[in-house]
Amino acid sequence: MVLPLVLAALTALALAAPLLDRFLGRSTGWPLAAAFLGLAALVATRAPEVLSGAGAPSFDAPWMPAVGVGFHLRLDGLALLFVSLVLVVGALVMAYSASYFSHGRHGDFYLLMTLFAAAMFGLVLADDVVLLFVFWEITTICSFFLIGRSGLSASRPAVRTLILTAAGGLALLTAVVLMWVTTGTTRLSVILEHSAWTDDPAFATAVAVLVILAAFTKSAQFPFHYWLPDAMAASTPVSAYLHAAAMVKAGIYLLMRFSPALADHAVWQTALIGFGLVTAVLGALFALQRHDLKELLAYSTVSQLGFLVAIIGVGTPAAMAAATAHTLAHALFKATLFMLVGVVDREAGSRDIRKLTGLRRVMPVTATLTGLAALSMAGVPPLLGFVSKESMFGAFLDAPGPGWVGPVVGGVAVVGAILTFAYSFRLVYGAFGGPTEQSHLREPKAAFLFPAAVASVAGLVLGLVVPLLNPLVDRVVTDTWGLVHDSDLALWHGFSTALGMSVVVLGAGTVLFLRRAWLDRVLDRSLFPVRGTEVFERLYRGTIALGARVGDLTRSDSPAQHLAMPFVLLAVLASVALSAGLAVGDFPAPVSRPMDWVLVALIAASVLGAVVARSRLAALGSIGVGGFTVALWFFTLGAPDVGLTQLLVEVLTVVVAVLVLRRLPRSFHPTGRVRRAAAAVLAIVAGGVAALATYTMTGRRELSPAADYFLTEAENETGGTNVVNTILVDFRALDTLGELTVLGIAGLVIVAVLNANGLLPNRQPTAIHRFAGSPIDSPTDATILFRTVGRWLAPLVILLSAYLLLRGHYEPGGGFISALVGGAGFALAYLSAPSSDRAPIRWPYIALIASGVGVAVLTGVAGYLEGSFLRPVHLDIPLPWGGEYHFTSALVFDVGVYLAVIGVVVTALNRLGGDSGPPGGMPRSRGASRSGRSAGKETR
Amino acid sequence: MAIVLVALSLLAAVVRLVRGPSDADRGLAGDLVFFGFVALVALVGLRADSEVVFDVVLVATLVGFLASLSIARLVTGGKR
Repeated sequence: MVLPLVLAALTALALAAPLLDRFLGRSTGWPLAAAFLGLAALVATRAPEVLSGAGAPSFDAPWMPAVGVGFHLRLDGLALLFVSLVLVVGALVMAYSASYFSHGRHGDFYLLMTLFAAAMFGLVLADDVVLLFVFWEITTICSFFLIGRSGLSASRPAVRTLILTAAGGLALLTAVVLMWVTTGTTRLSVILEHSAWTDDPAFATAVAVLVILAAFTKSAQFPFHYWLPDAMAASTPVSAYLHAAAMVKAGIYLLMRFSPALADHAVWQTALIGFGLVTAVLGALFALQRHDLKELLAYSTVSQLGFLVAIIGVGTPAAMAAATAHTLAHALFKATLFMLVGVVDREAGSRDIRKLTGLRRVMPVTATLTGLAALSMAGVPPLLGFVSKESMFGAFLDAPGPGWVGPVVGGVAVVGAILTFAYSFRLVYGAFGGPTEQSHLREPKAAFLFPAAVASVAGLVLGLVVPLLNPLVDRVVTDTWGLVHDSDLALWHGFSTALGMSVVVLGAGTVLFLRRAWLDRVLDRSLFPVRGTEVFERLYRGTIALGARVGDLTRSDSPAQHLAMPFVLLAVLASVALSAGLAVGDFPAPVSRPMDWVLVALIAASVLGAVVARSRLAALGSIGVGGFTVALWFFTLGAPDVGLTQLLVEVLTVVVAVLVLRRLPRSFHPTGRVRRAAAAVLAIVAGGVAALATYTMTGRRELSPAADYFLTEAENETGGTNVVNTILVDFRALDTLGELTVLGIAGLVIVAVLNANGLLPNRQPTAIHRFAGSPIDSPTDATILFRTVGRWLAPLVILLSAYLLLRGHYEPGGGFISALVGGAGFALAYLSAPSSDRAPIRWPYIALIASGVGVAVLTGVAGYLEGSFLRPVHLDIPLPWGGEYHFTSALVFDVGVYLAVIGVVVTALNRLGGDSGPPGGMPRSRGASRSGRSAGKETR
Repeated sequence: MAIVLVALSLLAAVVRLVRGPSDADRGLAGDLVFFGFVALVALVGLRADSEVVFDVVLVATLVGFLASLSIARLVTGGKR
């Protein structure tokens, strides 16, 4: 239970940090450091068990059992190594932060740092690949916020770091999914022992590449190294912890964790050794160029991580032992150096070695500690860095591959180490050597130096008693490799090749240091044609530009462009269907009659007329002709209800279209020839496709079972003989309810849109004034004919509409048709009014719509009397003159339909028919929208 | 035969409708088309021996002229 306890404690500490900060300010670092040490001690109680090989303490809890992902933690040797780094270095950095920051509030810093430690702890303990990925991403996010909290100048570096490391994280996610799918489990320890690594080379290669991508971005390997110097915008404790000891080691951890499965893989070996050594040498060269101490240390970190990656790539047990030792050594000396540079920065006010000089006389303790850490970095005996570097040299010589590889790899490593030596001395000498100019400076207080001193001295002590580390190193090698390794870390191995290499490094490094002026001159130029951040920014801008380019494709507001795409797709679909081969059935009965061809000719003529018409009126008329012909077609096909509806809708459409057209220019906007041609081609193709589809997919079977049922059972079930109407109001009344709601909503939308935008003014043709003064010009006289006709026609229309409504169940008619007839009556009243003031129909149209929908819904609810929603209720009412009237609630439903449709027609006539121009004429319309009734009063 | 004749007259009316030249011509052509359509309904009804056709003709004559009327309103630019 120790493992989840520590994880929970770290999380709780993170949450408590802001609270502590409220009382303690920057001193929050002290209790946090103490807590970190306490947790480290807690973990250490299990260390003997781990080191002796008695078994790895683990913790298992279900997390997402449905997909088999568990909350598995496991503390083996490798995890123990990294946990100690996370907790001990974390404690030192926390203690350091307590003195580093200014007085005041730093709750966000402590929260994020502790959260980061928790995530890192979880990452190295995770025994589930999904869990591993989750913690991996938490470290990325914490790092982003920790860099970004350093102010405006840090925001771009933070974003660059986030994007790059998140990209690597996604590579890891892909690897996780691949492993999950291939091995069928998410448990890391099982996956690593799975046979797929050897049986399935493609899988192993893919995972190797993905894991390498993830680790290289996290651990700043070439060519992704540029984010790390960039991230130096963060405060020094962040750099010391994340960018020296913890986060960048996550990639190293990942590589070490996966090396038992992948170490024999050629891609893995080549990439790790190759890129690692390139990074090591390049990083060291870049470090030599820098004047800013933090940047120098950043490139030094890049270089040291390159060594680590390369040695992991070598993949022998000895190499793993060396990697373990050097991970430890590097975490110690690099964190120390960062902390000490922070101290110098705080005391002297600068990190630039061109401004710092001779600090050794005023800050001797700082100088000594820095020297110790730098010597460890340079690999000078008797420090830990020397031991780890020498064991790396020894391991490099055994690099896999042909015989010449080992010496070459070793040679490159020696070059890297020489450069490392040179920049380590450059760092110390640049800050502390030379004449003393800042004589007023003093040594910082002990509490500030103490954390750095601990790590620095630890490097020396551990170097002297280095055999103490052997059990840990052995355990790491055994736990990752499964091989028992007997490592012999020691200062003195006798005369060996590795020792020779160390001697060469020391000698050449000293020469380089002595010839530093010459070296500066040689290196004081751009070593590499492009900078990583520039490449990143160019890619970033390119991505944004590409996105803009892609967005441009559909940026237009014009419907034409957006309509073109579905039509083109339609053509593509049709060509796919045609190339796939169409199986067309036979028509069961002859279908073509002479009458049909007459109608086809009429429709073709009307469509052609509508397409070529320049005048809007001509187009409207042509469409009307087409509509009438379609109605006729419905009649010939034996659909009188549909034909009637079509006819009435056509008439009312013309009426409403005229209300709109009179506000628009007489002719359509002219369009270019190319555009017309393109549209014509598209239209012909799309029309051909639709025709083909209709020809191949209709009329090739007998009556459907449902139709058969309706035709035979409609009268028995509903009492109605009009099958279409019984389907509409009895069998499938839900469709009708939906349709009438659609109509009602359309009416409300007319009101809403016109309230918001108003109407265009009427366009007055100039020819009208020719008749000024004549009876033609007088509205009252001109409308006398229709007013007289209307007086006689109106009752007739009302009667007809009531008749159609009542008989709908038995003969053509019903709610929609009768309502459209009634609507036509309203249109007549509107058109025959002598003036526009008297034209509006004083009916509360919104109330009409509402009552229509309400009646229909209530009728539907009444259906529960019979069992379910929208089920008609039948009632046989005896008539006084004998016989019975078969009443059905479908009639009431039809009344609802009737009211709603009438409401919509009246809305359209009233709101579109007014003379009100844009916003000017609004007030009256506004009133009308609130309540039809009050509008009626106002206008009266 | 009658159907074909009426249809041909409708085609001629469509030509007039499209070619204009003035909006009044179009309005008249539209009116002609409508009554041709009523005639067609009646003729088709005869052929099909359907009773429904009388309802249709009734409705069409009662409300159909509205389209012509409103087109006339368009010709005058909405003026009554």
